[in-house]
Amino acid sequence: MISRSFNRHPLKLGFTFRRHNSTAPAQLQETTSEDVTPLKINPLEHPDYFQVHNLFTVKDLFDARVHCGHKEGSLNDYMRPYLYGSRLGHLMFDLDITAKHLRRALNFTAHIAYRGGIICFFNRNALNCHTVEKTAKECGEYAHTRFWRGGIFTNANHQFGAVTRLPDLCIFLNTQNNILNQHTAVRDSAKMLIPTIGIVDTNCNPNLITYPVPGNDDTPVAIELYCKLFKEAILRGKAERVKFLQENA
Amino acid sequence: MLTRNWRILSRQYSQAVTFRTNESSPQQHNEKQTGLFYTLNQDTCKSLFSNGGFPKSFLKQTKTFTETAIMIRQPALDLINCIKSTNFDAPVIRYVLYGEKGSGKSLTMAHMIHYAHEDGYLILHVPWVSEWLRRVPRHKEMSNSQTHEGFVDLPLDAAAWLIHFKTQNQALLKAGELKVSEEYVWSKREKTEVGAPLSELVEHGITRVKYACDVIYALVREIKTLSNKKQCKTFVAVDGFNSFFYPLTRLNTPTKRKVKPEEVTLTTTFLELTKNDWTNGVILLSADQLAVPDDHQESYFPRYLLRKKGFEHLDPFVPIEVGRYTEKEFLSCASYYRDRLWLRGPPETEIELKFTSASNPYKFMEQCAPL
Amino acid sequence: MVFVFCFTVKHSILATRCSVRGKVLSNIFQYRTGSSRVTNNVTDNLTDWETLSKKKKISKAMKAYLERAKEHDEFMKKQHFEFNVGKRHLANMMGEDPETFTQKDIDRAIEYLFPSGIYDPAARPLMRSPEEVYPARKAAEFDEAGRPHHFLFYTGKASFFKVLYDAAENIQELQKFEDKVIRKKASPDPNNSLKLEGSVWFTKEQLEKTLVETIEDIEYTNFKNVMERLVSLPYSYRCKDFIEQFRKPLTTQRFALEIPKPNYDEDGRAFITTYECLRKKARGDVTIKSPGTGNISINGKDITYFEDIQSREQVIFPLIFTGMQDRVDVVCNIEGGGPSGQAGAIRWGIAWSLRSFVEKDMLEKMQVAGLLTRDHRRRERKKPGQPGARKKPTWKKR
Repeated sequence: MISRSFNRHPLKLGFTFRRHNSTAPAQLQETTSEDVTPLKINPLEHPDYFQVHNLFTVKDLFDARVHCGHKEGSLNDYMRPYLYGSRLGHLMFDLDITAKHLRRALNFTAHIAYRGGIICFFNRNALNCHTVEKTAKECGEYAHTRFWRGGIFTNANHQFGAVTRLPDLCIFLNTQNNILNQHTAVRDSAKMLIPTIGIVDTNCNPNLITYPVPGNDDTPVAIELYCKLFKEAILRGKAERVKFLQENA
Repeated sequence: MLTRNWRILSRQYSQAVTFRTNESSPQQHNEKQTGLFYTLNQDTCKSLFSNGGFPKSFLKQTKTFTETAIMIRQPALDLINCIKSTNFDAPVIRYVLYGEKGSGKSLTMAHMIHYAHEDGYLILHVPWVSEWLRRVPRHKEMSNSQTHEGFVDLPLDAAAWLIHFKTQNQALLKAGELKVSEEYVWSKREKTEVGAPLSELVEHGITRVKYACDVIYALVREIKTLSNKKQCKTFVAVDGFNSFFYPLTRLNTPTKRKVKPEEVTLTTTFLELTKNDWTNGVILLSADQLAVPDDHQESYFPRYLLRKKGFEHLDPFVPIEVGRYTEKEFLSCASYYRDRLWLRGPPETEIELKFTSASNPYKFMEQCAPL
Repeated sequence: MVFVFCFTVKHSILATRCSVRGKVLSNIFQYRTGSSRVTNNVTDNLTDWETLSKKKKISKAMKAYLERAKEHDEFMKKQHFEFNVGKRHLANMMGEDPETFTQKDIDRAIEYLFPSGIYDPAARPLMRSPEEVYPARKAAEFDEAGRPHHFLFYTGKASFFKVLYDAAENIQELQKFEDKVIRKKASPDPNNSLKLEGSVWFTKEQLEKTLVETIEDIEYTNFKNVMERLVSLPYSYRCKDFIEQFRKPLTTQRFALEIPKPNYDEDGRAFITTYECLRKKARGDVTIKSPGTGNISINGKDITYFEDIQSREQVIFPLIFTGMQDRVDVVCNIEGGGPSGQAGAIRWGIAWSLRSFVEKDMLEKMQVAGLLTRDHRRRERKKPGQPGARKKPTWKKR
């Protein structure tokens, strides 16, 4: 019973709880105090333990054309809150909102990496899939930019033959698949209770994604920016983990 | 168009050097000219060979090439040399040509006949003996001989041969120096007196077919005496002599009894002729496998073909082998065919043909036909 | 109180896992059970987590894999043992030395002891080492913590997609290189271009075998397209090794078969004898003597042994084809069969003997010309109810 209540958007609850406690500039002092006090700061308590908020600015987002959406006709109703407006029929995202979501997502990624979780990148756009795979390789995480076979998450034992550990986080750099439907993995990770981060464009449905990041998912520049950011976050998380393990080994 | 023909002709003639010779008289042929072709004069051809003498396939080739060309080969040259150096006072020497099927015996014989003709011999040429004894149409005109008991006559064949004899020896017969030495009584009203020219005898035989075989017999005797008297020199050529000695012919008497060659008058005639009891002549015979039915064609050696009887009859004789083409002859023949535009294709075909025909002249000719 | 307690518990395990269900993620179980013992102190969770990592608990997946691997190893060991014992028994049965009993001997013995009329060679009884019989398995794909080794593991066909990924990488790299060269105003060196005439791409089966993964047809066509694209770039020679991995050379290894060396007979001439020249009931042997003049002697007779042109042509064809018609002598003895069969047998015998006197490219030409293949056709038997072997009685429609 406890578990059931726990499962109802625990992160959101937790996050809101933490938000009240967060004070931005207090971070640095807390990290330095680790060496002094035997009691370490719980990274989870920290609003931005890995300083991912400093990784990008709104200007970067603008330069990478993240604010560009598709045309008005293809707008998904659920995306309305994230829009700034439209110009000449093209929809524009509100980059402040985007930035906020992105920071949350990056923070979450870094924590997952810190805890040694498996992260899987998804992108079904032929234009960018190579970039995504490369990023995944470079940060030592996993990617799946190919045709999604039905039961990879839901029927994993059968698909892989053996008992397998599923990803702990799924990052969708494009939540749609080649026929512009929602990627099955979104639904499957929700079924398997795997948290997801997803770059949702104006024609995507952000409902099942735990950390949606509204933004452009088609332009190679934007994708490269996202990849860079996620990679950075993951690497930072892993570096912290290594440091932690070494200190306590 | 004309220039093109001219070019072709000139090309032909420039190539003609290698395999032709302009020497058309066999008397002048010598060893330098082995392997080369010489052309026969058309008139000579007609007179000598109109009734036979060349193999059928050769005749066809003659027609295709519009000329008669014979290759000068070693056996022929040997023969010519021998003949040139014979002592004509000694009894006649018998030469027997032998060789594989299609190796060139008949053509060599033809070459020799030409030579003899040039040289002024009196020619007695039997083109192909088997024709008489084996080539039997449905009903052969045969009659029982009158002069010889139990013997069979072949009147038509005899008459045909007399005509052949006449055309071959036109010149000599016309000269009219040859006279009959005996009197021959044919019937109550016909007889040939002493001193009549041979031509009369021959005419008589031609006109009176009934008596043709006897005429030939008489002719043969006369010629023998004439040669002995040195009034003429004789050249006897018989192609397919061995068929005289084969035990069976294809002839049937009206009673359906098989006739042996000894029972045919012509056989006795020519056997007489080929006895070496006369002088001043040359006898050239050939023993050919084709003259004998297929069962007995195992070997081409004279001893086998002539059988015991023939061998004894002809003993002693000079055997001359007519073999296959040598390299040089082969190439010369091939270039002749090319010149006549009969053999076409790349030069490699020649190598192949050499092997497939095994340098057999007849086979070579055959195999060039579809090429 | 309990509620608060639960709430803190919730906090502590926030970042690690959000689902408890699913036996797959049993790490949670351990974490959870571990943390439930913990007091309210938040930092204790960290230490607990660290102690857990110190103990290096193996994930259930890994455990299952290890178990299966152990099982498989044991199984293979048993099979190996049985195979060796069986080999020794077989050697004893055949009366040969068990120590030096090779795989070839085993094959021969099995064929002798279990003669099989089955057409397909793969269906006949065989005795091989277990590695060859049991299909290859993939090694452990993930480490102890359950993290897969390969970064494309979750696609299901990791090695195949890695190949595609490498190809894409190479294409990009080559394009960059090309750009650089063009900027320097140079041009590609034609000498260095890849030579792909003598090889073909792997077939789907071969690819599956090399990658130990099943591949769909669509994926295979995709693979081929990608490789073709890679090859078509001007600087593809830089990725030669990668491309060669997936190409199979076409050159036949037939002439690795031994070509016999000629013996020398009394006159000092080299000669080669081929025995057992068979064709259609004709049997014979052919001897080729090397410095010769093109004489051919069959059963003592000249080539006129064959009277028809076709037979003669068959006999001389190999000589003319290789151009050795006046450089060698041929002596053959032959019996049985008819002219065509004998001619064919002699032809094969000559060609087979000529192998020792001829160069390699000529050999290949001979093979292409079909001179070296033994004609195995024999007379087909007449069947009852039919006039001939194939001919049927007149077909009546009704």
